[in-house]
Amino acid sequence: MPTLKVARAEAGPRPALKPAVRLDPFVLIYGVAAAYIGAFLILPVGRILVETALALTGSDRPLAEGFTEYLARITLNSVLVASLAAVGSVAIGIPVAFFVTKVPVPGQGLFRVMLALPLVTPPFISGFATILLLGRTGVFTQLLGQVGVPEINIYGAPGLILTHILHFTPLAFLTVAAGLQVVPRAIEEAAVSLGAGIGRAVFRVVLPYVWPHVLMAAALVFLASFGDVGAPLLLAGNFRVLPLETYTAFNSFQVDPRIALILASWSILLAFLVLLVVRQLMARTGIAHTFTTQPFVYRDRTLRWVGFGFCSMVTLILLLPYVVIIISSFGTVWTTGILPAGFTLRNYQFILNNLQDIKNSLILSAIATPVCVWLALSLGKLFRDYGAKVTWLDYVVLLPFVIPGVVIGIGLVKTYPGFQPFGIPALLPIAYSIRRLPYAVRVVIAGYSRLDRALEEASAALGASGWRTFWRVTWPQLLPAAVAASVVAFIRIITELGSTLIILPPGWRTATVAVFYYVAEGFIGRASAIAVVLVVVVVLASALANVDYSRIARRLRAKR
Amino acid sequence: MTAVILEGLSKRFGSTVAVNDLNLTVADGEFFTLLGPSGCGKTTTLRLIAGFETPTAGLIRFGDRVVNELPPQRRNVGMVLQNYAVFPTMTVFENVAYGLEIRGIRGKELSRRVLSVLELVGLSGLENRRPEQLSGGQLQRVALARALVIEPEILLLDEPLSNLDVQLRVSIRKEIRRIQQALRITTVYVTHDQEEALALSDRIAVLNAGRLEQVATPFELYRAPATKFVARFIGRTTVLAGEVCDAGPDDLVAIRVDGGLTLRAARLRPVAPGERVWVSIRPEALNPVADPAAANNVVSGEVRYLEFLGPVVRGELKAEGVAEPLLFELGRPGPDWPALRGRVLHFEVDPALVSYGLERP
Repeated sequence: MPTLKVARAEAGPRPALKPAVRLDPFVLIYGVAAAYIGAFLILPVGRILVETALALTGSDRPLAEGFTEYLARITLNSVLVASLAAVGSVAIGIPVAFFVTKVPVPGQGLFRVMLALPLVTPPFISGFATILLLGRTGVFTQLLGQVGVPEINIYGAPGLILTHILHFTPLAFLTVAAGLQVVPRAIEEAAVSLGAGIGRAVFRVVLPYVWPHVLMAAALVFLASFGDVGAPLLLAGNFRVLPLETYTAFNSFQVDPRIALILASWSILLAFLVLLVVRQLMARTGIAHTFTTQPFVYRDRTLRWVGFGFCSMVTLILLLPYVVIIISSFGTVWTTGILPAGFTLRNYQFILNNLQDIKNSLILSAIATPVCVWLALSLGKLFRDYGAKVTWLDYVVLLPFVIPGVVIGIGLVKTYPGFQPFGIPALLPIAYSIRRLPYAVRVVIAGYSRLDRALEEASAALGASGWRTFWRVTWPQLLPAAVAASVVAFIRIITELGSTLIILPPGWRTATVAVFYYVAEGFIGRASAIAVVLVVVVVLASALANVDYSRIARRLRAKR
Repeated sequence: MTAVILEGLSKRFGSTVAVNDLNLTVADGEFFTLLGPSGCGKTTTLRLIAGFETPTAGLIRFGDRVVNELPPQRRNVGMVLQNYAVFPTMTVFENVAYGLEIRGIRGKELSRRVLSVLELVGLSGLENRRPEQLSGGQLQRVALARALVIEPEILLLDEPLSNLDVQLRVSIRKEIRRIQQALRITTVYVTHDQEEALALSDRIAVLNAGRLEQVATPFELYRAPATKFVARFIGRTTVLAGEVCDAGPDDLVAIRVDGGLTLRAARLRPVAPGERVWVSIRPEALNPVADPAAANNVVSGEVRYLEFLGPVVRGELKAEGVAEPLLFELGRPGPDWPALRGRVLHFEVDPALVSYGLERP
């Protein structure tokens, strides 16, 4: 066989392997990432705890009379709102998820897309819409008033709970739907073939299987509601909740400065508790099982149309806030009647002439997003390479997810007061990159988990250094996940409010904060217009996230 | 080329011992197979040789160099895995060129060597294909080409055929053997498929629960298994328990199996009368005879179970004086083969196909 001889004889002297790089550059990268997280997450959180301890032990001055009762009351208030929001969201989210994934409801794809909208917008947009609908001069308030129903006061707990349910139901829906999607066909087929009706199959087999996802959905809504400061700022009235009280205590010069610290520490301690629960749930709902099989569907005509009716109703209600905001953004004055007194483009003109807020938001997000994604990529690789040895790091990465943004903001401001190089409020992008890290990390880890480790080993066996293996083998496959993580991080960053309110230096404003200023000053139309712009930006960004980049990449390659 | 020497090699994962005090020498240019059931430590041993695991104890030598501390990148081994691990973002050419680029080979020399190795594995003309455009067999050839092109000192193959369907498995198996013979490259091959191991290997190491059972040529493994485990794992056999009654001066050993019958086996290893042994009788050791009185070393009994397998019918014989049913095979079965069920048959047992060994205490 001549070819064989060629292969052996003409090969020439064996090429020498270049000596492998002595210092693994990844060690340096991990070091920088660890330093960043240490400096901007662990240190600030630790600082709050230490300062609180010092303030409590170092001073003889007693705290204000009745402080303990006050602390207990606002904690209970927050827990009450978050619990009811969680229960309400899950109660609506489960049937919607069931109808969309398990019954071929007509237009299920459309429902999925429409229900994702509240997910990418900040909660205060929903809060704002609640005011427009049910406030003292709201559309519904007036309509109901005409048929003799007395005005309900939505400022306080009811408005807050309602807003959070409206806003977080999609979160519950998506979490439960993700669970329903991976229920192995076989167990439902077995249940049905044993003669179980739909109801029995769902309650005895399906729901128990996705129970971790249901709990996870409740936990996610609870956390999001518990940490939210935007909706309370607009809606809470005299009803006091923890993050808002922390914010006002921190910003007020009259309140004992120790109060803000104590409230922040208290939030951190509560967060640690929740973290333990969430971590357990994550292990059970995570990417562990990724079945790609088609989920089992229940074919039943009645169920189909009942489901369609239910989903349509829920979608309409959940999207109503956005409709109202869009109408309001084109309106002149809207105090009486079901529509504004007149229509105009002035609000948008005004915003075009005052673009600084939006520019600020975009600039800050553009700085924070790459940092956040870079951190996520580094940590993702660290988890992949040293998985079992760094499980504790998992908790650290989840911290910003459970600690309210207000508290992270306070920690950073306390630790790095007046840090404003080149006139940029650098603490803002830093806060953003830390705060939205958990979202980016999740996407990146999911991306890594789809990569076959054997590819990296094959590369190493061929003599490639870890650095080369990453760039030649891992990175090209990771790219779609990195893009998705960037978009997710960007959306979450540009709508961030809690830490922004704390850190924002005088004279600076972001688009999110501008909405509050305009509401406070009574410019409802302008507030609506800027909210619409914000929603359009995040919807465009999330549309980008849903593009199948690997497919496009494949096509481009195929053309080449 | 290079010999691979494992000295007292052990690997522990937590409390489980994957590889237990393994001593092996793979000769220069040899096709050497690690064979065993899943969980026997064969893949771990391969990964230790490749450098993806570090030994808990013992030495790994390539020739006279100890490579324990050497990272996988610097061992210069070629590795082929069960799931191919072909880089999905590179073409066939790029996949194969990858290892050469790392070694600083560029331009004409690079493409000449890539194309020549692609020809060797029979992939000429597919250089610009993407992995998703290739079949399983082609992917495995890419993986093989990619491993061979760097002219590794040692070629490591981890169940490279188990993801392929049966026909392809046999044809690629021939390919692998042909290429290995042509290049005379030291090869360590891991499989759980004993037929594959017998067909490919110069020598085979049978592993069980992290320990070495036997290292031998395929022929020796089959005809003279060192342990009961090897006798059972390689090919088909009936294993009986018995006692040596005559270790005789001639080349036959007489063993009384449990049940009372005395059988003769070719002398394999020294034993003394009275010692407890296991006895392995291959089905093809049983040759049917019409007149038992005219033959030696005879077993007789009733056919208990019979299955048709094409070239043979295989059955179990409830033999007189034997506690366990004996496996036998009859060649070229006729259409009346089912009539054999329940019949009494007589067989002469070929001592050369009977093996034995001391029962471990």
